Amino acid sequence: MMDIKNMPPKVRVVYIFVSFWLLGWFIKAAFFFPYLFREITQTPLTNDFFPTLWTEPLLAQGAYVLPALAMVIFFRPSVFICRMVAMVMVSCAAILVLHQDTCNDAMFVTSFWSAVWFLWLVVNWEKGDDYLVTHSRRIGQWVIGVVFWAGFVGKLTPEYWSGEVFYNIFFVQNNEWLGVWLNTHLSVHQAHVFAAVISGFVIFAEFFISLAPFLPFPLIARWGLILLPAIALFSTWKIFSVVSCLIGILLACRSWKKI
Amino acid sequence: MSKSTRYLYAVLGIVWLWISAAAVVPSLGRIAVDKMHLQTPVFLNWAMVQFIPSMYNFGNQIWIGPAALTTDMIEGRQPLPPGTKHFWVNHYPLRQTYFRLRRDLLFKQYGTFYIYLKSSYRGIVWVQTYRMQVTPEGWTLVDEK
Repeated sequence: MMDIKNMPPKVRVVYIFVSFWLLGWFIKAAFFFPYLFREITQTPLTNDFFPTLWTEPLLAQGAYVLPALAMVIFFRPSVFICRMVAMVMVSCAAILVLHQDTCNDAMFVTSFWSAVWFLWLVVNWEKGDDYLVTHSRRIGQWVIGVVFWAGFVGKLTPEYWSGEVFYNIFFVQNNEWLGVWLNTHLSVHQAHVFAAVISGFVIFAEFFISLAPFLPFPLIARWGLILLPAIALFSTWKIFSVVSCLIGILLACRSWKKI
Repeated sequence: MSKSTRYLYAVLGIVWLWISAAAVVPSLGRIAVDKMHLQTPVFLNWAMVQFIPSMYNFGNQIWIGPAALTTDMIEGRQPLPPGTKHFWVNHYPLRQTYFRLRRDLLFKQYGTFYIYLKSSYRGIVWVQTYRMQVTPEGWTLVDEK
């Protein structure tokens, strides 16, 4: 494998994006492997809302595991391989967005849209460098902007502004490190106030990131790479499954100019 | 600009506009809640709306228990029956039932359990009721529309 600093920019962009996409996809593997390969078969759920195909365990199992083949890109980054990998990523993410047992996980929606970005990139591979740099960044900003615009708009409600949702999810019901520490060291009143403050921070951060399509790329890249990990760090590490692919877009697009 | 580039900008723009409108158009908010409550009348419509991001959207709550609940119980004006669990959920509140390891630990006996979903957004509240039939063969989710 080539040294990342010396490889052609296009290959470096591919390597960076695919690395972070796979990281986000498999970071919850400790949950998804037992869930998909044991839980949904031992205790199957029947729900007439879903057509039979979209309840088949084998479909979800295959769609979750197949993207691992994307690692072939690191050994053979040809245009053909990249296009095949991109199509696998888009298809597998789309399947899991619609499958009964996985449709509720936001990571498959962000993985889908970021994979669409990657598919666009490899389809337009032969366009000039300036074209790829300009539009990969702009489309990447739109993907990230749309995801966080949805997050921001969905929180324009008193339940979030008051901190009630965050208080219940991250204090009362949370056994992650931050929730445990805060419950131990804060009174109920202080916890409510803290939850309202954190909620306000998250809403503001999401609003800023949602402006991505309208702001200069360097600004969004710098602040996005600070805020996206921060959101995960101060809520739950599991959010890396949702944001890792978006971090990958930012890092990949930023790497165009580094030679 | 290539066709693929134009189409992708157009799709992203449409999704952005849809999300923006959902903040002020109640019927679009209803579509979003129906998506999360699995109440969209046509599966294909649900499938299309599924690709619109909606993480940590709305105030979502779920009640799960062996007894049916009244409106007063859901609103907190009466205590909940023994064995009823209540959770706030970031999105897709039904996930609190099935999206877990050791599903067998949630419903520790066979029988019928009642599930109430409540999602609220900017003063509008949507409530949906389900029953979960738990048997040795698995779970069956029944819509109590």
